[in-house]
Amino acid sequence: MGWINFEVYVVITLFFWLASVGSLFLRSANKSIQKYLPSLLAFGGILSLSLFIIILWTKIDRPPMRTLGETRLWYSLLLPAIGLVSFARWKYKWLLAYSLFMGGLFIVINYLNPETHDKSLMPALQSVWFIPHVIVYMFAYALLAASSLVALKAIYQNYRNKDWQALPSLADNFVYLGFSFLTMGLLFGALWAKEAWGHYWTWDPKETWAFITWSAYLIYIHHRYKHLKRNEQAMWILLIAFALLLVCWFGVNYLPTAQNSVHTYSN
Amino acid sequence: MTKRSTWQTPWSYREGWIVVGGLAILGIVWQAFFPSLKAQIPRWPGNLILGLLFISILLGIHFFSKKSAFHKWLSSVPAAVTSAAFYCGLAILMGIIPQHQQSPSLIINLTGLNQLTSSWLFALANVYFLSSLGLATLKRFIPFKLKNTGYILNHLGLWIALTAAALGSSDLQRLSMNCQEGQAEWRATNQRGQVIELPIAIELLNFSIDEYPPKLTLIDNETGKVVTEGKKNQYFSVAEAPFQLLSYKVEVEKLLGEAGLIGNRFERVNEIGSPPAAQLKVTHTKTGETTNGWVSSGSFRQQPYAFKISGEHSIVMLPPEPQKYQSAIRIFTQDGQQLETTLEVNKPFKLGGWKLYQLSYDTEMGKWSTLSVIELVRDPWIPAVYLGIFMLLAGTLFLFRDGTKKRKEQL
Repeated sequence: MGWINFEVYVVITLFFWLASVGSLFLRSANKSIQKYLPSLLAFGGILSLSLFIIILWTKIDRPPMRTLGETRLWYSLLLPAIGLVSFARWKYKWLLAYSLFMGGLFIVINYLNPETHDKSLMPALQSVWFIPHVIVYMFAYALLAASSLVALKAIYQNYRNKDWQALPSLADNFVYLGFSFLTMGLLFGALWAKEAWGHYWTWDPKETWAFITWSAYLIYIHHRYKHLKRNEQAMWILLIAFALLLVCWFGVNYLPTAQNSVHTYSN
Repeated sequence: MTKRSTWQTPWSYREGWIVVGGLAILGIVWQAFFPSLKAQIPRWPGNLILGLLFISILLGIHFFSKKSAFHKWLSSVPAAVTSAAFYCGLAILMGIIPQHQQSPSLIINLTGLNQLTSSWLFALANVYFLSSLGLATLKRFIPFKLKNTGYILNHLGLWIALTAAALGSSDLQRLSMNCQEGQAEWRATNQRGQVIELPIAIELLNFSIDEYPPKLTLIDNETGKVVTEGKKNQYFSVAEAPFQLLSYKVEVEKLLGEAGLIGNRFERVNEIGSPPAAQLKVTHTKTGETTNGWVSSGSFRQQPYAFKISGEHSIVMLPPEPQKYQSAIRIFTQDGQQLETTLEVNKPFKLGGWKLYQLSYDTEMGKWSTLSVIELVRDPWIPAVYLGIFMLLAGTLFLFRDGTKKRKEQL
């Protein structure tokens, strides 16, 4: 990240998002300020981070999607974007606040673990599949993160004996959308693998965990289909599914199986 | 739920978990006590017969025991959830236990958990999952209703993809061929290490690599470790000079693509194994002190050359990374035809039922490698797998549209 000051964008983005969260709970006499200010501020942060990603992309001459840190960057962008859209649609303040918090957290992680974004892109990644595969996956991850935030909220409300009956159907909206993207990401990956590595599925550790994640959400969807009333069970399945997703995304690198993976692109 | 005793109809989760447990025990015992009876799909046409048999059984259950408790249960959500959980659980084991290598644990070796995909456990999980999925699909497929299109695309697509992948696994051939420049080769090695003679021959005309400009980094003279590890700018490409490495400003004065050491400087040479070298001007930004010296990445022929810039630090050049590698080849077919093409990573070449891939090369020799490893893959079942994959992709669009809508209708 030598040529660009990531810090500047971190500060600007975090400032916007903090202000957005603050304004969510602001009581203003002016109705339209109360209505639009949080969205506007959240959008400002998203814009600033987008600008950074665009500049980074042009500077390194390749899509910034190779390393873990680079995928975190997309996550920090997409999750708040999803939070913003759902805020506009369903008016859940806490959801926007949580998604901004998660997005901010991932930016801070990136800031604390600086990476050198170099131009090299190994031949296996030079493919038309690269961008759709990663973007679709990051979009799925962000949507499924939103669903697990809803699940957490639901479990917490339940624990405090407060009403949470509207939450599971909100989680469903995120899961259906997220699962569609997850399926696409998985299948794009399979089609790409056939071109790059000769076979569409080799049970490489990353593939194995991607399958585990996919089947966990598959179980959730079928559980919901049949037992729409067993909300608490469903919310726990959702949390477990997200834990498996995180293993697939980060955890794989720390498992004994990782040494055999062909999916390692960091230095 | 509590009122119904186990095995009393209608069956549900409890029976599902018992089936999973039973299959797991069966799989492990079978693997441990009859290791010679391998869970192997027969080759063509045996796999086709097996597939047709499986389809007939599913159709038989669908049409002739429609009202049986067994059919109702196997095509229900509890069976789907328990079979998917079984599959998922095995995948988790596969994701934790390193595969295709001896494990230090005797139990793991004995039960086949270190090569799960070819174990009985996995085979039985597959049969349970595909039976449940197949019957559930048939229930909505026959009789056909237009409103079930999304359901059928998703379920039948997954069934076709998984079944074809499983049945086709025995017909899949992956061979690697070591091609030396200027020689025709017709022998290849399969995944079990057996040499196979092919009806075609491949001559490697030329192997070439394009490289990225080499990178420079700062190391500690005593430990030899990269000083900037974990910091923001760990290394720079020579193409980005001038740049700042900690408190040193680095300028590249001269860059040679292929160089040889003569005395204490580098000169351009035209020999195999001549690594890149660069003449650097390094300025200490605090003291203003300037030094001048050479770095080289080294190669299989030459030692790397570091530039000691202080008592503490040296600058080193990392070996250039490949940007692209490709093999120009000539193929001789059985009927006497010759054709020329270029293989590159991500750009395989189709020839009859085979696909040719650029796999690797002699990495020690790097860009001077005269060896190119070409992979030949034959997978006759791939059209069926792709049919399933594309049905699933179309199905995701329905999931987009219907997912949230259906919820509301049911509530």
